[in-house]
Amino acid sequence: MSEEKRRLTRREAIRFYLLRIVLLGSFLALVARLWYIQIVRGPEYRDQAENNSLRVLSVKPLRGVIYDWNNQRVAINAPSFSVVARMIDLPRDEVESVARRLAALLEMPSLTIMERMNEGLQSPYLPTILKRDVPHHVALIIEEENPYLPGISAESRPVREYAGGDSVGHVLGYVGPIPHERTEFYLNRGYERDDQVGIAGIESIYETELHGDKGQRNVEVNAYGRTVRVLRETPSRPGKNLVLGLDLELQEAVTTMLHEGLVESGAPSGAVVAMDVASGAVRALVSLPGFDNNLFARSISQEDYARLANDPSRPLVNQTIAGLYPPASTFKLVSLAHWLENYNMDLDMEFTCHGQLTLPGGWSFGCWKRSGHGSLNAYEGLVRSCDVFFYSLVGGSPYTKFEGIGPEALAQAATSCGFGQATGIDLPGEQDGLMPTPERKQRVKNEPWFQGDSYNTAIGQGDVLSTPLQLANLSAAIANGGELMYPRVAAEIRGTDGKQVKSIEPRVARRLPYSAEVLSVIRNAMRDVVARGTAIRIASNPFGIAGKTGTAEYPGPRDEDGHLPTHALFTGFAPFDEPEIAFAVVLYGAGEGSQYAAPIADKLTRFYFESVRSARQ
Amino acid sequence: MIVVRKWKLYDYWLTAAAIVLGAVGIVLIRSATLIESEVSVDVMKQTAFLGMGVVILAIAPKLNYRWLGSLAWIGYGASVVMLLAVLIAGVSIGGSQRWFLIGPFSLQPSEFAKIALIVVLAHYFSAGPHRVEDIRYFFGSIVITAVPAFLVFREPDLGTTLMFLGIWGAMVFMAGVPFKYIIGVTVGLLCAVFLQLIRIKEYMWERITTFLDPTADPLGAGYNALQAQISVGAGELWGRGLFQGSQTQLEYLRVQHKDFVFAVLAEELGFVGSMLVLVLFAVLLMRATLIATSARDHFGQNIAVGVTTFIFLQTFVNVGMIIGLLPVTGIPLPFLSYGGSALITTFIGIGLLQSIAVHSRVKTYAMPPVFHVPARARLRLLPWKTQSAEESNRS
Repeated sequence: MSEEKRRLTRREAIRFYLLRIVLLGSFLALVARLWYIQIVRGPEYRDQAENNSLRVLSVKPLRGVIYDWNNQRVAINAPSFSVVARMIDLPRDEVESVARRLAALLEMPSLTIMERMNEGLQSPYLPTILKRDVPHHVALIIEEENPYLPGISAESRPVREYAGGDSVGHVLGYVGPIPHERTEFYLNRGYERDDQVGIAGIESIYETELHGDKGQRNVEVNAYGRTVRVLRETPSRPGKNLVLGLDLELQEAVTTMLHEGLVESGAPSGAVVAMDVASGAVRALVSLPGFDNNLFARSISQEDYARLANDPSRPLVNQTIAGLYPPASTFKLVSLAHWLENYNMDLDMEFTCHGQLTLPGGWSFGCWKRSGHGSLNAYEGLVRSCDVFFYSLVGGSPYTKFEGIGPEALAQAATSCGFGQATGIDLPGEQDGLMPTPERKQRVKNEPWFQGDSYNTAIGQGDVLSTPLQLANLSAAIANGGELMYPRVAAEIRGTDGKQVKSIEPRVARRLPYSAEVLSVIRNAMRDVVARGTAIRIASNPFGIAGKTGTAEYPGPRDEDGHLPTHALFTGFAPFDEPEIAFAVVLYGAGEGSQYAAPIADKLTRFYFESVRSARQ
Repeated sequence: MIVVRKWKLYDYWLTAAAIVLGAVGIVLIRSATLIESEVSVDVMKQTAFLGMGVVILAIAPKLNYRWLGSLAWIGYGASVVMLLAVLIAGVSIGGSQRWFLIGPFSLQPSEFAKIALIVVLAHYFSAGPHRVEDIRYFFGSIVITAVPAFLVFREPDLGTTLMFLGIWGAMVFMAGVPFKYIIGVTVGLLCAVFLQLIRIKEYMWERITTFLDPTADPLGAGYNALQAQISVGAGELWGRGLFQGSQTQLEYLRVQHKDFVFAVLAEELGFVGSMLVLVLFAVLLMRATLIATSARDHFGQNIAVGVTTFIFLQTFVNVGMIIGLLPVTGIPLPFLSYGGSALITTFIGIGLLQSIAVHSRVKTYAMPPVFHVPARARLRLLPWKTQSAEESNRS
């Protein structure tokens, strides 16, 4: 072992000095920086730490429940889970891996998930829905996998469930995500991007009442967005409940009847309206083919939607309010009322029907009954639905000196009976229909009005178009003594405690300009239509049904006898003595109104009085 | 054997600082894994590793570090083989292949390679006279360092690669290699780094760019850096209380019990707690430099310098990264971060220092003062006060 001692060389000594200076200097830099961050800017960072973990979450209100006339629930909130992303909690570099992990769980492509997440970046603190209505076990997995799925959570978001499925789709409509073009509208009203709103039908008209008020929850969340502690909570206020005048039982029964009628006649579509004559409350409103609104409420698939949208029989269109049909012979009610009111209840004047009417120019206008009705007055003209009589009454007869009541007067009468304008029902998408006048024809088509136009209009053909609801509403007005009501699907808005908040009072839209006597005569005539007239087929109905048939020609392929195809129509009311319910039945291209439409009205009234009405007494 | 004298020369300050730091680390790991409610597996593992560290410190003075001279090349060769093996058969976690799995434990060869590198470089420069001035030995040392550094870089592990280079730089400098060599190589290295930057892995680039402004993309690459800085700042003077930091407990801070454990400390124990830990590190490093200067030979001195720089660089880079002074690199904090390989490696380093300390005074002559310490500072209890040779002789 050497005895030599080792000395540090000068060079080494200097370097060790340097080393120590570097070490201490570096530590001083760390201390200085720590001082700056923790002491100088500490309060600022503490705020940021609190902002990180303290969140204000909104608590979605439960949507109001919809009841039918019998307090049966027709729209409820079923428990369901939606998978949502809060982008603030999802670090950007983890988006892809999280999306891939979710793709397998949610059974949707990870690209779609990433697209939705991208949209979610617009409002990173708010939940962005990735998929609605996931099965419960998937929701559980998502919650368990929380550490691997930062920012992703499964939240309870009830889905709307509708009783009645296909039969109530048109009336109730459905709820869904806010449509893009309405985003701003709803955001301005305090909605959030992930809210559901009523898209169609009653759900959309009564959105304000049904939606409710959101609540607030101040919570502490962890880095993965999961709530750790609730600090304060303002509960949400559920939406108000809605009671309809619509009767689910009747609605479903009528749907079946109409469906059978369509099958029997081979018609592609049809519509039935039944309403209370006194209040205008709609008891049934059926448009076939329909759609199951549950499909929409549970976020409809692309294929299902395409199938509905491309179906030539247009299942997405509510035919009762948006289907336009020539009123045909049902329109004779207007001519008759006008005649009686303005021509001193003249039931003496008669015209003779030879099965057709020929103008001097050689134009010939046929009556549906080729053999002719013979001589008849206005009353019989309606009961037997003689076309020639009404041609003459409106357009004048070439065989007598009678000039006719004229197209302008008829148009005015029709307008006062509700034709050519929407009834104002509480449903979106209602059509006005059309009531032609000479002035309009000149303006729109740049053609003069011919006598033939008057003839066509007289029997509700030509350019006249109406909705089934307009026909039912007119029948109701005739039945209730002349008050044209605003038809109403909803009857009452209730608080969640069950107490009535507001009943939707019946409102009169206008009074028919006809005296009680005139209306009485018309009701008698409508009764006789069933008792011994064109609708004798349903004369056996025990509930005093009264109505008017219609067979509306429309442009289409003619049959082997050269006849145009026809829609089958029937409108009326029952019972005759104390009218209670008015209805209109239309079957697209089915044929004779008496053959296809009237029997449905027959079944409808039977069902109404035997089941619905008796159950309520 | 003069066992008593050996224990007299044992550096208790060094051991105390190391064990206290390790214990603080366990408390912080407990805090970071509090969500698991029961004492986590990680806490138990770390405690076991700390126990092994204490055993190493107890055994170390009985072993003469000078034996390592003959084992240096074997150790170096073994570590290179391990680094090669891990590239072939290692486990890949988070896109980086750095570990062997052995039952419930994972072994990180790059940690142990640090010790092997330190020992081989120390031996390389001290095995013959005038090697430090010889440019051939200088380049030889570059090759010795480059082999493991390259293997680690391929894992990829940029942080550890830079550690290797840092250890080499400090050891070469402290061994007395002429400045001109060092400057020349530094310039060359900078050029090489610049060229590397062009084809560097994307995540490494992100770390560099987000270091410059972590708030630019808070949900993206800057997330960890930003959350770490928020955690540290939110601690303020006294901290938010142990187990009470919202950043830590609500997991805004990621990889918190590993690379970001200092942020847990700073949040929950505040500026005061951070200072205490930094002071412990400073004490430990100062003691280490004193051991280096009092080593009986260049071999020991070089090893001590290597261990000092290894601990210092990791501490500075790790803390600097957390408080936003340096870019985010995956470097654990010595003693405190969770990780068995790292903890054991660090304690082996401290054990080497103790062995050097204990074996520095076998001679009977007085060591000349290394540098002048003012008389008023020569208080026995002060940690930077070395025991003079005379005193040790007297006893």
